[in-house]
Amino acid sequence: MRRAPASVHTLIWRQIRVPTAVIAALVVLVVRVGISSYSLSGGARGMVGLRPVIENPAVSALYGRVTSLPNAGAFVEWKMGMFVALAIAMWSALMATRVTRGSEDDGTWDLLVVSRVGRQPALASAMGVLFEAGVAVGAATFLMLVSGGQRTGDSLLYGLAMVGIAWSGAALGLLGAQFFAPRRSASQVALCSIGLLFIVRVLADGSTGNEWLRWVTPFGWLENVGAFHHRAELWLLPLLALPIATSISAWRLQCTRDVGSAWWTRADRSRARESLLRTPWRFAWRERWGMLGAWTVGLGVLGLVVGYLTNALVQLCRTDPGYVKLLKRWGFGSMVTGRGFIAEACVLFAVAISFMVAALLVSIGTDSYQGRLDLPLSYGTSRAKWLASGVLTTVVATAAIAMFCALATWLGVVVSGTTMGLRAPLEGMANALTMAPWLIGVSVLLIALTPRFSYLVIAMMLTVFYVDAVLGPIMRWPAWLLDVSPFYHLHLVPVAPSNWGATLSLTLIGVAAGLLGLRVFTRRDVGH
Amino acid sequence: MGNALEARKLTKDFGGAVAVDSLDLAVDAGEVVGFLGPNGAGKSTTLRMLLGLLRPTSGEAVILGHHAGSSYAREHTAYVSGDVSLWPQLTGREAISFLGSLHGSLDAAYRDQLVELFELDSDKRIRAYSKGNRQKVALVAAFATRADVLLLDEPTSGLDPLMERIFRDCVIEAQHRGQAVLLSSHMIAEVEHLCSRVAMIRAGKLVSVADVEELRAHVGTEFEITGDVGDLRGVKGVTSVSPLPDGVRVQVVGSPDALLQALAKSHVTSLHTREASLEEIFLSFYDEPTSPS
Repeated sequence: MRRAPASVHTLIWRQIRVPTAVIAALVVLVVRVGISSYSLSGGARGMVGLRPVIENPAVSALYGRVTSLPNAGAFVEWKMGMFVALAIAMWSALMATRVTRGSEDDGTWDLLVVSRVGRQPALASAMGVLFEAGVAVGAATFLMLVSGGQRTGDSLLYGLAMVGIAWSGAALGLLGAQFFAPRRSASQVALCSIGLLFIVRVLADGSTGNEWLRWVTPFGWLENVGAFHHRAELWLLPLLALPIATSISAWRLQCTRDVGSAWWTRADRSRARESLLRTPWRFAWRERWGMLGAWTVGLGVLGLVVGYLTNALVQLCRTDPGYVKLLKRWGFGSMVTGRGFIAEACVLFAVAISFMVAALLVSIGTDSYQGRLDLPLSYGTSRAKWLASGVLTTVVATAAIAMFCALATWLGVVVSGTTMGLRAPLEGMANALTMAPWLIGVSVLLIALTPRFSYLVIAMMLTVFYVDAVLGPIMRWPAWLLDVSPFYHLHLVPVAPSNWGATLSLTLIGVAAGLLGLRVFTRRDVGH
Repeated sequence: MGNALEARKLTKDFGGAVAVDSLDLAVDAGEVVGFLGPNGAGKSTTLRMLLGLLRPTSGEAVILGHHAGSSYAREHTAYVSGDVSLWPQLTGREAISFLGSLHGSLDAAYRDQLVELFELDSDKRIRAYSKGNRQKVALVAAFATRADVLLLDEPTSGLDPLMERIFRDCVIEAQHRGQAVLLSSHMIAEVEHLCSRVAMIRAGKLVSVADVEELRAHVGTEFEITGDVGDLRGVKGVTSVSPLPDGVRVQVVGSPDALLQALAKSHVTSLHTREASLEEIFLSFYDEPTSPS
């Protein structure tokens, strides 16, 4: 097979270089924070008290099973490793669908395959770029660990394991792109597969007798490698080899289908359903109903799981005073009661709901820069009405889904055998929603200013603010740095009263930003 | 009839790059005006300003006496772009219905007739349509709204010749109903067939707005004369003379009186006249170098 010219390689790299730099920077930040947290907590001696926590089945299910945390690398691997791996796999899958299915969707793939480059070398080049990006992220992890004083051999092993995770995500993205079109569908299937593989690992670590399940998921192989614990290099073999084999299968599959098509196609015909097409407000629901369904199911399941964990955590606190002491030292003292745990969980829900709000709103920006607003705006609807419909739909849907999540959490609590009224999760969730006016206002402003990059900016902003609110107090960051994070101002309702002063300030900021956003949106050039 | 749409000194500056420069243009009700120009001349930018999608840097766009982009203007305008972008999950019928709802009125009987005429499979989802079929969706929606002003930007790109003919019939019907049409197109034959007036734009500046006949007069009439006609250079109105095997080809601007008087003294065996096509007129405008201004 002829190799694609270097220019094709460069072109594909250009499509993913910014997201690759962002994920590498995020990994570097998380590893750095993990190493600092370890030393601030007293190092290996400070971790001795954490033993009951790490052995708790609920905690094992989330973070993986370990028996000790002898060094900062082990702490990073346990506390952050799984979630960093999840983020890397998802990023890699999204990049894979972007350079393959995305290029087929917008027709740029046609230009490559009809040229002398050809179809097989073009996909091989895309695979090469994705694998290189995975190596770049693994190298960033390795270098950060080594610069943080961790052993080179262990760090290299962990870096290689992260490369394997990135390649696994890319392989799933490549495979999804062969079976599904358009890119959104391929990405959704790849991300759902990654989520499923993560849940399999959770099941393996969260219950006894199911440890074998770790053998069937890359997240389990990552855990089995145990770079800073037991060092089982052999597990690198499936972690690195299977993604390569899967990618080669995807490559072969591509050669046996039509360009632009997919192996699985949905019916392209449907009877017209016009009831949700009569006004921009109704259409805003119609446009988002798939997304709303997915978020409702996702947050409902999350609520059930969190609610179900309440009993295990409360029992642990009752039987282990050392654990209670440790939680207090880490700033999670309120988690010793069921209501306190729910209050902490609602802050976590606030993060998830914030991402949902952003996802629901940014379709306004996407419609704008993809040219879909041209016809509606030329046919009688105003920009203000279009924006208001999107915002109002987001407000109503967010409130409804948050309450559904509260109900699911309460059901989880009840099923776990803890006695708690429905009011506690409802109050906690209502408190989580106090951030919404700020977020909606700021999002509207960003969508008006930069529709193409609004989601990226909002997602990065939320991530930074959450990290600021969680780690800032532990790392003793300056007060002004903590004050800028809206998450920092969320009180632990229902165990503490709402922070009405901060709510009012955030709402005023949100209203001001929203009005400014409305002004910009109604005056800017559409499609630019 | 008054102006249905008007551009007054319309200017758009994209951060130093002037896309449209002091453009004046008016289209009356019941009139079809062609809008010609090479790629990047500023046709789409002008149309997008008339729709209120782009804010003019200076000047004004007016639809039926109202500011372009105002609710009144939008309620009386329909638009078709050369690259129609719609929600992929909607079917063609749903997209037409949605645009009709936004407009406030849709002639359902005419819509059904148009769906049939354009042979549009309206139960298909947008994502399954070819470019030409997406174009048909936008055309059906635009004509079925019976909007007073139709702004059409390369509306037939992707349509086959049969469908182009249907499109021409629809524009003629719209004109008879008193709708104003501004038709931006690269299909010169289409513009020649449909438009009473043509506006030509180059590098953002309007170089000519005139009836097709006036434009022809600008380029002139071509005479092919066989026989012994002598030297016709210097005859009033003659702009060029080129030899033929048994005669000459003469280009005349304005009245041919002087030429005919000169020929009266010669031995002419045959004389053919041919008017310039719009394509030749178009090329005559754009072959000229851009003025240094």
